[in-house]
Amino acid sequence: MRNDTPIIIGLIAVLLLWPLVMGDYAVSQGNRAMIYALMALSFSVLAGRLGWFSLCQTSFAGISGYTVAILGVKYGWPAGAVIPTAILVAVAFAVVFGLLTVRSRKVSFLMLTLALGQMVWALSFQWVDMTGGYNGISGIRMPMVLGINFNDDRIFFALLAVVTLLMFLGVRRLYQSRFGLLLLGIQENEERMRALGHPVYLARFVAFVLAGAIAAVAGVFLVFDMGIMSPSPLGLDHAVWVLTAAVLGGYRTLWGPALGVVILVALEALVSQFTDRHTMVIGLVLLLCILLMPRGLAEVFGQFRNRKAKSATASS
Amino acid sequence: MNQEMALNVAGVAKSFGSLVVASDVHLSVAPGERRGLIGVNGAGKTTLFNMIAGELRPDRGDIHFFGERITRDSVIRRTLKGLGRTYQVSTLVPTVSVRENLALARGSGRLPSLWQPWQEAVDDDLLATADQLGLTPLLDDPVSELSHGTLRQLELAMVLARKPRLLLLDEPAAGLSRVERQGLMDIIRELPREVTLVMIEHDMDMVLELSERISVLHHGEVFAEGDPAEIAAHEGVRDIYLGRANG
Repeated sequence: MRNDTPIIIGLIAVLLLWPLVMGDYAVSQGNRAMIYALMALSFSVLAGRLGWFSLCQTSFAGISGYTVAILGVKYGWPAGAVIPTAILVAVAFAVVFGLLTVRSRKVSFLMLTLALGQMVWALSFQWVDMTGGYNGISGIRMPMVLGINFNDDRIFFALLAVVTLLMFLGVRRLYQSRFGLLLLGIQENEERMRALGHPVYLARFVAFVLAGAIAAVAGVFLVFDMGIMSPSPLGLDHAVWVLTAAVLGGYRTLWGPALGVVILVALEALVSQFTDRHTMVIGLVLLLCILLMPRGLAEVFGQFRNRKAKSATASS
Repeated sequence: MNQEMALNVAGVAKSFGSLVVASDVHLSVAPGERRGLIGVNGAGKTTLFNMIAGELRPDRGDIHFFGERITRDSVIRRTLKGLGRTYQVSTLVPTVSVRENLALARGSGRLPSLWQPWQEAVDDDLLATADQLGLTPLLDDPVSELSHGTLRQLELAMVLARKPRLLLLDEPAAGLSRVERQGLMDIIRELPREVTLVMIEHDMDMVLELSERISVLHHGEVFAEGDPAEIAAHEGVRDIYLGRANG
């Protein structure tokens, strides 16, 4: 992995300054961007390291979100119990989905995750007694902790920024680990990795569950950010939105998915000011980006940095 | 007999639908032996390797490794028992460096650390193996930029780093230049006797020079077996290679 310390320092500076200098709308968009950056990170752990394109990562976010809503609002559990339980429930689903998909290959994996994601989505609006159907469950609020009101957008931003940064740094460490290297090896040639004594299915399964856990954390923040949990975030359009962001930013890199999310969120906010047909304009921009930079923006920047470093070495 | 042999293949057969690839293969290789495995294309050599390595399960027959029955063992279990192999086509991780590929060489059958940096997997022993194969100056080069000969050397280094008791080399000289082939032969010649070697190779000069015994596969069976001089003089083998033997 290239030296990305300047990126981390820049990111910390932006995250520190954003709630201080930006208006309410920008802060709320920042919250949304970080939540979706976590979902895109979850997607890219599988796509970038294993070549597995998952369409059910947003389902894990939805499962943790619904667990928070059901236990917190319907059953009145305290937030301190609701949040870890929600993550555990989503991870339990990731374990089951992981067992079902671990032996599948690229296209069959995509189709299996599509089917599983659609099942969760269908459950979310058909199990009306529990989920509230299309109307969802509203009235979800962050708790007050030590007198700090996390329902304040700027305080919520600070908490979310710390968690997002920690999650990205955790995945960065994972990518630099022996396990992270093995995932790349499995993507290139799983038979070879097996012949070198590596447990291929176990490694895939663990990666899938870890990715599910990241999405689960995103789901907890999503439900508190929206204050309502409905089937909408579990829909295929959300899964494709996350996939698009990760591909646009560069799903093979650590920071690419976050970059893709920031660009998409900013584009949506910007274009919707000028036209109602913002989806079409954004689609066109994406089409051009993906045609011109199929490996994503982060990899283009990386190649540019490599070329600069090489030419500097050559001239010295 | 199984107790004495590094490898004992007994009556192994494999078919894909109506295509019989191995019909009744018997092969015994003594510990430390250098065995050549030859035969025309389609004779079933790589299929036999795949069955020995565990990538294919035989329809019938048995495989013993140093006296232990491994017929139903997984690839990983066979690897952990000391069986190593290379492939006809180099199967490395091209998107990363030589050093990172070496770091992947020694799987333990368990999940590697999710926290420990991969660099810590490259110890002095691994670096010494890489050095023996002339890879030291290339450690930080991307694998995608290596020559075909160097890829072969890296692949061999990764297998040797596991200190295998039995090494299966599948056409190690395929695609190599004369100089590269000579270098590879030197490396194979210097392998310690603790490593038993079975080698598929189409380069007859190489097989005759490196093997102590040669088995000839034909139509999924061992057609002939002997020392290099016997095989070179074998009338039937000559007929096979000249296309005169059909059955």
